[in-house]
Amino acid sequence: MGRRLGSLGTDFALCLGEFQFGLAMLMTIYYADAQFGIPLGPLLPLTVLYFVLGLTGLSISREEVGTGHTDGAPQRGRFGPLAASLGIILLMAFWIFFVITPDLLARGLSVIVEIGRAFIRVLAWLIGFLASLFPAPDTGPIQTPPPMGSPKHGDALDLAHWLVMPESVRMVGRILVGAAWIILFLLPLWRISTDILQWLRKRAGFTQGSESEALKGAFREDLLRIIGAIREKFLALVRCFRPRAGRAALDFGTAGVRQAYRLLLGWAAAAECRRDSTRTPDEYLVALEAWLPEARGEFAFITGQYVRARYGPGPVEEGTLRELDLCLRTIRRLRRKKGRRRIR
Amino acid sequence: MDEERRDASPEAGRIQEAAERFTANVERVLVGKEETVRFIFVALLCEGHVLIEDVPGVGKTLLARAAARSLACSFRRIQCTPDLLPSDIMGLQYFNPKTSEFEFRPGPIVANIVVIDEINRAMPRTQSALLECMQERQITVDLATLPLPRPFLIMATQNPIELEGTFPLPEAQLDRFLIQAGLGYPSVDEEGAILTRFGRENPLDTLESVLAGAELIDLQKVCRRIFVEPLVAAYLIAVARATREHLDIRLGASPRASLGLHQAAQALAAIRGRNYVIPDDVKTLAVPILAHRLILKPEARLRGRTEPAVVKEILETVPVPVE
Repeated sequence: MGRRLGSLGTDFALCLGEFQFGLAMLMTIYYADAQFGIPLGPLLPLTVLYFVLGLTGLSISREEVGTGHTDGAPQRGRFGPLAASLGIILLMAFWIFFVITPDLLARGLSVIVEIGRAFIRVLAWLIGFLASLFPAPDTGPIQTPPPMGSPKHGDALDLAHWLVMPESVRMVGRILVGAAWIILFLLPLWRISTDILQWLRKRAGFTQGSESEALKGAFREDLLRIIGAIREKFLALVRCFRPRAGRAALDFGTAGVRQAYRLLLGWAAAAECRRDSTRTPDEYLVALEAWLPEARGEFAFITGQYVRARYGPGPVEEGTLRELDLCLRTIRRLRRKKGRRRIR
Repeated sequence: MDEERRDASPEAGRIQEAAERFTANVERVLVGKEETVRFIFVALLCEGHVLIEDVPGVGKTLLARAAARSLACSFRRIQCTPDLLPSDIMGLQYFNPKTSEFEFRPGPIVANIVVIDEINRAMPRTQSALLECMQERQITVDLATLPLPRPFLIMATQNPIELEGTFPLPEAQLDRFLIQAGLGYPSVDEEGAILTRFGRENPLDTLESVLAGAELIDLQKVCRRIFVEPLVAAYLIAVARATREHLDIRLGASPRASLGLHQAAQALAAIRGRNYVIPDDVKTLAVPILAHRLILKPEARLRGRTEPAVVKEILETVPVPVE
């Protein structure tokens, strides 16, 4: 941590973040020690050193930022209280270290378990009470009265009543419980993801002269951007394995002409020359010619053939598809050439 | 034009050739108004009526007369005035003392091509008398109903500026005009050409007909066979329907307008040498066919909106059927 801090420009916010991170790591180590009995003898001086350095570093960085308690002439006299507070904090740390033993933790945990059990008992009683409010079902078998002097089966009958509650109620209950579980699962997941991304953003933002600010909805945007990037990668991969456009044989007849035009639309759209939905093919031809003037003739031919095939009644003439294929090859070559020129 | 010719089908080629003949002939008189002349030929092919609206002196009447003379058909001209009566247009029954019988003397409307000059100067009752003949191509005088000769086309002119002493055409009558065309002022070169051409003699006096009535009827039949892909028809309907739902429009295009746009698109496709309609044909004709049938809301008019601008806006919102 010290090394990481050494490589970064220190300020109060960074020190605080690192301190919190280190504290969480320390608590994890103590937890591991308590649970698995791992011998951690040297941890005591390390903990002391951590708190001393951490708290001192925080104070110094706050002072450097200019918002410290000792900043300014009138504040100079407060160094004593600051040192005292540091001492108290260290004492508290020692006290915590000595008091919180595995036994104490186990006792604390058993208390929590007991509280949980009591809560479950109250919940079960509450559910039983609510279940008793539902009317008894009429569809069950007719119960013969117990013989005189037989033991009481009141509890079992109550349970049976609860079990045969109307199906619709149970369905609603199932949905509610399911929804509650999903929410319980998603909420921490969302919170953890937000924290991680926020921490990553903060790390990325700690460059010289930059500021980081938590933006509302930034996590959603990041998530969408990541999903979009993954999608683009996937599509690029699919495109690699797909047969090369233009080299594959066009479909027969009108479908082939339309396929060629679709291909052309796709290429133009990829080059940010997308067709507006209110533009006719002939209007769009002007934009295509502006995009790749060298292929003016090919564009005119493909557009003309498309218009004829799409809106006309007649069949596609023989040899048209071959010519279209040649035009597409020419356009693809010119397009690549233009792309290389742009890169240079 | 070469591109269009390469795409021509034999039947559409006939119409294209006739359109070029007609346009070239009219352009001997009227300089630089090829598109307007083309619209008039579209109306001829659809047997629809044309309303030419523009400021005085730009050649409205000249265009109507030149177009009429280019066709070898009977031609009449009616100059509208506030005291013009329906009987002055339709004709009347008069008593012939020689035969001692009532005889029908047809009015100037009984002709193939009728130029009605300054139509908005006629009184509403006289304007209303035109409704029957424009839509049903027949006239009713007294108890007799007479069919009008075919082809029958009215070319009316009106002046949008000078409104004093005029009677605006009702919506029902505007809807009966297939196309409304304007001419606009000529460019510098065009005006120079006009001065040169009209300096010596009036070319209208020597204008000859280039298209016979029978040939025009035949071409009209060919026009009906021009193929309209269902998706293009759906696009055309979507444009017409959009005028009924637009926020600035109080009265949108009628089904008659959709039908007119359909027929006119067929005609324009044929004039361009194609035997099928494409969305460009619909777009080209949307303003001249739809704009004059729309009524804008007063608030839209106060904002300076015009009917052609609204139609153009609609064309920018309706998706074209491409893939």
